[in-house]
Amino acid sequence: MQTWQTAKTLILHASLKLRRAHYLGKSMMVKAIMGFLALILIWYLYMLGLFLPSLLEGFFPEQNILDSFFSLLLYIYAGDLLTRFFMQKIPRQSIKPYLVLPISRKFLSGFIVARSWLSPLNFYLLALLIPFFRTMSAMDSGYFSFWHALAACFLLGALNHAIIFWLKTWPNKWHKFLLAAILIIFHLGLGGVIDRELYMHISLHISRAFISGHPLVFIAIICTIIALQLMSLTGLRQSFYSWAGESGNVELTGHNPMEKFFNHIPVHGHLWELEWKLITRNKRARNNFYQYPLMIPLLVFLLYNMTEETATGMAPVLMMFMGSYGMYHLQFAFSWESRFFDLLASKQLPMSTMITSRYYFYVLLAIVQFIIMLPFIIWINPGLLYLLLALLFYITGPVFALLFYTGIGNSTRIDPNGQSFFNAEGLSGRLFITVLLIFMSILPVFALAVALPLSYLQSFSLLAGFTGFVFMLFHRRWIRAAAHRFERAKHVYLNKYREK
Amino acid sequence: MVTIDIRQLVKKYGVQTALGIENLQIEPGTLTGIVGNNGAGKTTLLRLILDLIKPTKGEVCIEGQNVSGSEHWKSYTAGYLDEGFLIEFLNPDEYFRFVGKLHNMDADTVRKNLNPFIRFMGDELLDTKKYIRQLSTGNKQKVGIMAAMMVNPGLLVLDEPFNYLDPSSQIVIKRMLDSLGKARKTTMLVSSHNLNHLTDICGRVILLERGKIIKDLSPLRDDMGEVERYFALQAEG
Repeated sequence: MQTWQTAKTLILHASLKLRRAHYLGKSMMVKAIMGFLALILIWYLYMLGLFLPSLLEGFFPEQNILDSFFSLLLYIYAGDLLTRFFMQKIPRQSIKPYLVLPISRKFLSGFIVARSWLSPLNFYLLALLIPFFRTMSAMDSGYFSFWHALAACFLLGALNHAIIFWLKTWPNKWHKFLLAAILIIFHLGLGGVIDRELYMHISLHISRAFISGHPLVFIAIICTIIALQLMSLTGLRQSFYSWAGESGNVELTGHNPMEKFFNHIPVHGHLWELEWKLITRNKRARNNFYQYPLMIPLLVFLLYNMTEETATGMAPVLMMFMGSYGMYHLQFAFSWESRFFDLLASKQLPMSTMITSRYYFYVLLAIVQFIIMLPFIIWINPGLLYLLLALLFYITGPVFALLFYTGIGNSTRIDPNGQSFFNAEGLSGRLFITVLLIFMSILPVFALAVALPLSYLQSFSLLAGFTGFVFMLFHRRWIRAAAHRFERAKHVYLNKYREK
Repeated sequence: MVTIDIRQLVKKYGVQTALGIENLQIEPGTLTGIVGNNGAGKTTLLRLILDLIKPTKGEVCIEGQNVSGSEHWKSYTAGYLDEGFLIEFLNPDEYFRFVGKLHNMDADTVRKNLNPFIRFMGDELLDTKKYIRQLSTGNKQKVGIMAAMMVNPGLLVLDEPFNYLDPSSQIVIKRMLDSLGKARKTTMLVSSHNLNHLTDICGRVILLERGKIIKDLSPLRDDMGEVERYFALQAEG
């Protein structure tokens, strides 16, 4: 097959893969929700771009609007880098079948690199930047050039793309995690905690160099991008062997002390061991689990910038930290086991025992993660300790109860060893509503806290903590109710979990 | 010794009837084969017996208890229908231990019960550190069958156990089923496309077609050539 025909076939296959993707074959409601969310995001960015000049003027009244913006530009691209680290993926799964066909690996790696540039992550920031830059050029502020600024921002995004692509295609995984951690810690550490002034100063100078249109700056960035892409091509070609399942790269069972430890715990031990193996031995579940510690710098950043007055307003965000990995994992409760649920259902394993075991497991995990975060909380903002503790109770109480109870209705099949970070298979209208309910469940606590004769932070912490404590105390009751609910419609759910 | 009673059992998908069995009794300690073409309802029947799907009408009783109403039967029942029964991120040894634990067996007992399967396992499965998902289809099939048989169940349900297995393994599995029936008086239900496999080992062969039992034969008593002629006629259309 000629090169152009091969490329055309690969493009056609990529489009078919997208159109026939499991998540696009779902109900109209899911499609509508996904479309709506994408539109909302673009609209939000566009409106932010329009109002950014007045917002910056309000925040930094003593500074020129453009200088304020360019002082923050590195923050924006640090956030972009972090987003890409989690969201940007390489289409390795779709390329695997082609490795045994007569298509050169060089061509395949080139195709993957070229295709990666079509990622929406390379374009979403334009929705914010175009309206902002247009407003600024209309204001005719001296040294500003719309096209230079846009090209500069596009190049910074491209640089992020090239960095992440290189990190993810390089065969040595420890090296890429280390480098990613250094990049994130540098941005969050220097920009958020250690020396904010210096960080903003660097950002302003880099941006001015771009706006002045000095060709050397553009050439330097373009050369870096090209170098990274060339290294990615080499990395990709090496990675093909592991993607094809070369025997030297077969995953093997290790001797895990955690598993041995679980094995000695009576009653729940073997189910905890199974849960632990499910999390740590499957790509999708494992990636999310191991990336969780990376949230600690983000928490440090939040705690540093939070006061006791603003903290309660941030409670829904803090809930995600306190809920730890369990809050993410249990959103898809029971779908993770979908591939072997027939086995569990055909054994003498009461549903209530299974839910109880999983509940204890994720409560323990949340406590362990809280203990890891504790020194940072005490060091940076000890005034928020009680609020965070209360939120820990709240998440492991009513939120986990809600996740287990509504999770029974998820009934979607998830491949825990799937490649993508974004869990498209688990996406459903029900899940969307569940997550919405979780965040809304804290609203009554917000309202009732006003009535208590204490400071708002104290009242809120007391109520949230108490609610969580009550749910934890009576966990056997709601677990029984959840188990009963599952058993009532067992056949319906089991049928949905099976391969269609 | 376990008895299965099936009464007025109907399973419909929409308007299409996948299975319709008036009455069927599986005697304790027997090895019953279920044979039929694709879509005959073999797997549906086995799923109904294991309470993995709900009947539209009728009931399946194991030891007089409706499988939907009680779960006691699970303590002496084992089955392997397809890869959905395997936990693909465990290695075989861990899977056996996990299944053993669900049947209150410690690691030593699991090892001991797996001893008779050593020849069946071959070198690839014995003490391998590979995850189940990385095994070949045949080896996955072996793991599923062994996990079901090693717990010495009172009732054993296997769907197409001879698929994907090499000829030697097929012979071994037939011997194992035979000895399990003799030593433990296990009631066994085995489905297959291959009539020869079933006539070799089964005391009773049930022929299913479009969800109905059209023949209920004993290889010792009846002429199995009749069934072969039936399939030949089907093939000729």
